[in-house]
Amino acid sequence: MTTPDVTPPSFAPSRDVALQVDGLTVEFATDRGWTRVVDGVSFSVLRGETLAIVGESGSGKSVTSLACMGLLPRRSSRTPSGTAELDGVDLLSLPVRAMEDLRGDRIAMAFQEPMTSLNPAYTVGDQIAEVVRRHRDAARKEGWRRAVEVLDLVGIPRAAERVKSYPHEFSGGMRQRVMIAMAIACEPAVLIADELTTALDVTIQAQVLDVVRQMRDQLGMAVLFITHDLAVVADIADRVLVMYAGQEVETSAVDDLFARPAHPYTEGLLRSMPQSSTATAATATAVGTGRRRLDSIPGQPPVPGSMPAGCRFAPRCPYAVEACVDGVPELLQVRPEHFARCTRALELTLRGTR
Amino acid sequence: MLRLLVRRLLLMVPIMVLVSFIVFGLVLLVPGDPAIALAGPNATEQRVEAIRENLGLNDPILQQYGRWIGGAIQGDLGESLFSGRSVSQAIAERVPVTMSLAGAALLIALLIAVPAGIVAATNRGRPADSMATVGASLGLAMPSFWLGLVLVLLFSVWLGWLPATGYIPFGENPAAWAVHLILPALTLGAAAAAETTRQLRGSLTDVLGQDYVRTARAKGLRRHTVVFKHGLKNAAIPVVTVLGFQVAFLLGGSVVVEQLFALPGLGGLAIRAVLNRDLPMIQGVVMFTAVIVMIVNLVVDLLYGWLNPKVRTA
Repeated sequence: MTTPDVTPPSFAPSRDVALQVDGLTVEFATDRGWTRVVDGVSFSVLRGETLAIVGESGSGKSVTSLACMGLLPRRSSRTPSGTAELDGVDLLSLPVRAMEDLRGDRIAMAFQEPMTSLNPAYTVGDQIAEVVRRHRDAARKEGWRRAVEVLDLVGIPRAAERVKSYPHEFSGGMRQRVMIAMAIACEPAVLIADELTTALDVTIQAQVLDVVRQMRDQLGMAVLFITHDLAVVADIADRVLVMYAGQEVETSAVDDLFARPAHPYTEGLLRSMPQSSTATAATATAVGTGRRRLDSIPGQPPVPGSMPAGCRFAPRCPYAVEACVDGVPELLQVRPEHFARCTRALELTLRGTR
Repeated sequence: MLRLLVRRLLLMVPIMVLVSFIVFGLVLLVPGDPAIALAGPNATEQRVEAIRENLGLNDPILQQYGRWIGGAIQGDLGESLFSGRSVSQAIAERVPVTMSLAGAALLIALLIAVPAGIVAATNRGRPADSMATVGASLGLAMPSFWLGLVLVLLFSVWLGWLPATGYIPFGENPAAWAVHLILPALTLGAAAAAETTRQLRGSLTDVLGQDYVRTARAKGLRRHTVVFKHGLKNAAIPVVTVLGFQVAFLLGGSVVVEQLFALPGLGGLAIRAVLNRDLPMIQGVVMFTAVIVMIVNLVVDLLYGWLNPKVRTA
């Protein structure tokens, strides 16, 4: 399957860390000076594992991933503290050109909205071959061959023909596969998938998630899956990091998080999720079936620059007490491998979905 | 791509017919009778009538049109009413001058606009961007007759670097040909350069903010590849449209600039023909210019197809 010009997949022990992020802080330039949008986020992704980062829009999940890619605008953003280590190299302190060498090669990203994320003026083959040529010093023909190979890998029928097609000649799901093919063309150690399935309908969504899973297993990649959709998380993730207002509020293995959430925000997210596996949203909300109602979290997430004192979720939290506003909560260990940023994490028993 | 070409060529036929109608209709619109002008101030009624009969001006309009268009298709645009010379030949003699001028002006416009537009778009809000924007506004604000005089004053009269007037055919002396074209082409091309700079700055700025540019950066491509490959090809689409218009403007503007720099081009021919009511000559020059503009539009359409794959299949 591999060609001589492409590094063979690593057969290192599958449990080692691919990406290690520590205390990542991101600030954006605004009219009122530097405003913090990501505040000391730490996580690690192991090889062969999928970590989902979940949160509402504005929670800082996409900014976190763009920071790891070095794709934040240089003039209007900065990372005053924190590190993001890939193979022992801190991506945040790399010079521009060195980061460009790693980007698309060791750490790659597949975006949502494949219609606008693929260049309409070039064939998909050209756009895939381009990555290979850039990072593998491959000749034009080699790059082209690799493009056919990865398109075939992600399940595009008649890849040898389709490689000459333009993005607008594909369906939404197929375009998303092309996007994935482009990201994995150099067999990266880390794949970041940003809201990959948001624009797709549910059946296509499941197919695309399958492709991601297969590629992860075949190539031993670490996958960082950014999403706001808990149904997707349940489907694809091994571990979950829940973000709220620029902070990590809970991190856990996926089953434990769904069964026994330890942060009220996570509970709220779970309660507002339709149980698509067992019932449709409509029956879930129907009264008299014995099912819980579909809830939403009251209020709005805070705006960067005017964060509430104490716990940032306290104003919306049904369990908030005085201590929540007075003190800034730390991440508490609830169980092994399960942490929550809630002062009352140990005393509350919250409702999960399983 | 071939289908696009064929479709556009077929589309040109009805447009060409329409244009020829309008051009020929000039006969009816131009005040005054060419026969009277030709006969001179003291001619008798019979003499004017004889001339009119001789020129076929008494025939039905459609018959006259048929005679004219029949010749025009074969490259014969009739004879000048005054010199009796072949209109086609007169145009052919002067075309190289005007084409050299317009071509050089277009080249200068692109040489200025492409770098300026790229620098402005990739340095938004910085001094380089401001300079390009102010420069573009200046270029648009200066009328060509004034700019031409200033350039002549500066480069010919004071500095003595470049000739102020005249034209040397390329075949005679290519170097002198180029040197004589610099000032007129700069004069004619300034406005086109300014307009193209503004257009390119706007469209490239827009394109560089697109998701696919972020994708290109995520692939680790070098900045120049991102801007030149993924940015420019998409940004060129609106610019090419503007360039198509610019070519038509350049042909029109060349009339003034040719006079300013004493270049023996189509402009002079057209002015003399209009002053003399030399109808076949006017028709010939206008028809010829219209065909050129249509060919430019065809090229623009084909460029579209190359730049935007969606157009090819649409």
